[in-house]
Amino acid sequence: MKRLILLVVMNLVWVRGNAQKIYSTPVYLGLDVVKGIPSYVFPDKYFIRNTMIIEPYVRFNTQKPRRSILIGAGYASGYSKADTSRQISNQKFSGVYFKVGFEKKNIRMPMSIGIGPILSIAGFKANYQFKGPTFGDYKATFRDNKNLAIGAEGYMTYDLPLSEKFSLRFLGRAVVAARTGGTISPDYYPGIGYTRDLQKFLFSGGFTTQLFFRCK
Amino acid sequence: MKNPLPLLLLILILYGCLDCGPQKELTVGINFNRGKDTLQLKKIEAIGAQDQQIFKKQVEDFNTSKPFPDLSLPISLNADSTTYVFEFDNRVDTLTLFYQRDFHYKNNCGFVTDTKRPLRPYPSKSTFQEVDVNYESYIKYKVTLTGGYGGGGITVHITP
Repeated sequence: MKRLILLVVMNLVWVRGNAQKIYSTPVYLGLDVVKGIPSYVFPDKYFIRNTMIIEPYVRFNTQKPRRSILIGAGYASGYSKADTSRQISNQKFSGVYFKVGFEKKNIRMPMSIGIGPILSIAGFKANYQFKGPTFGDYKATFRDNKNLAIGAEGYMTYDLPLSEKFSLRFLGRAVVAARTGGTISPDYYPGIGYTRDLQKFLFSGGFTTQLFFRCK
Repeated sequence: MKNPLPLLLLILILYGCLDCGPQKELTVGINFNRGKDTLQLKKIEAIGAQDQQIFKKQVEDFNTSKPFPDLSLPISLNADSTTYVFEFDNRVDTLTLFYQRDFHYKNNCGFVTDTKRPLRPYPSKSTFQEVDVNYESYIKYKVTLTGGYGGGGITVHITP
């Protein structure tokens, strides 16, 4: 029994010793503050409508100089832009996603580049219709819930300090992902972005702004 | 062959040909074996139709073509049957067609519609002397540069 306790203590010491090597201070907590806003301000013009996007982050430096790791998760729920000329005029989507970014900071400017994996689980619901000039339109609802996309996200950032604790991060990103399931072509794929008319392989990108808080 | 590029391009085009299938209201082809009968059609109506305009044109075609006029009539996508009323100058006949509707999603196309033979023993009900209904998919099973094979949909042969 004593040996077992000793072994556990030794393990904990070893884990803690190595954990210290994984990251060093400061640690930043972040939140995407832009992604969902245009969908409420311009619901008829933007490619998504009334979409809630919550995307928190944790960022910490590694032992290697100018290197950091970003861990993020997100939830998105909303509607794609309505287009009555299409068979599926708009889609309702919701999904959760997880991403990790391995970053390298520029030595002269407050800029970083990063790349890392992304995993997104999403569901879609929409109405489709067939025009029926003689007997009336046929309308039906479909659900497409078994959607999993795995891919990689690359990004470039510019960090603007606002105060000692707060900073804004302007970010441009590009994502490639492959879907392992799902039926329909999604207009917007949570965590990935605008993916209209794409089926198996998804490509997207965009710009956003994140607010970071320095914890310690 | 000096330059195989055009041939490769042609093979790629043929390989890439895909018949999505219909994405609109379907029609049935109706062939009348009028024979020596000089039936004159006055009117066709479909029960539940919101717009009867298309049937006027079909009436003209029926009266001008002899002896085997072909009509193309829309079927309802909102029900598993469509009933037509044929009003001739000396009689009125009805034809009810039964079918199974099939709506499914096709990659790179969207939702397409098709029909199948109904599960019931008789595919039609009619006051005509003889009605023969053939069911084929509305989606071509093979696509070629000149058109393709299949995709005929529902066809009806009527002997009044």
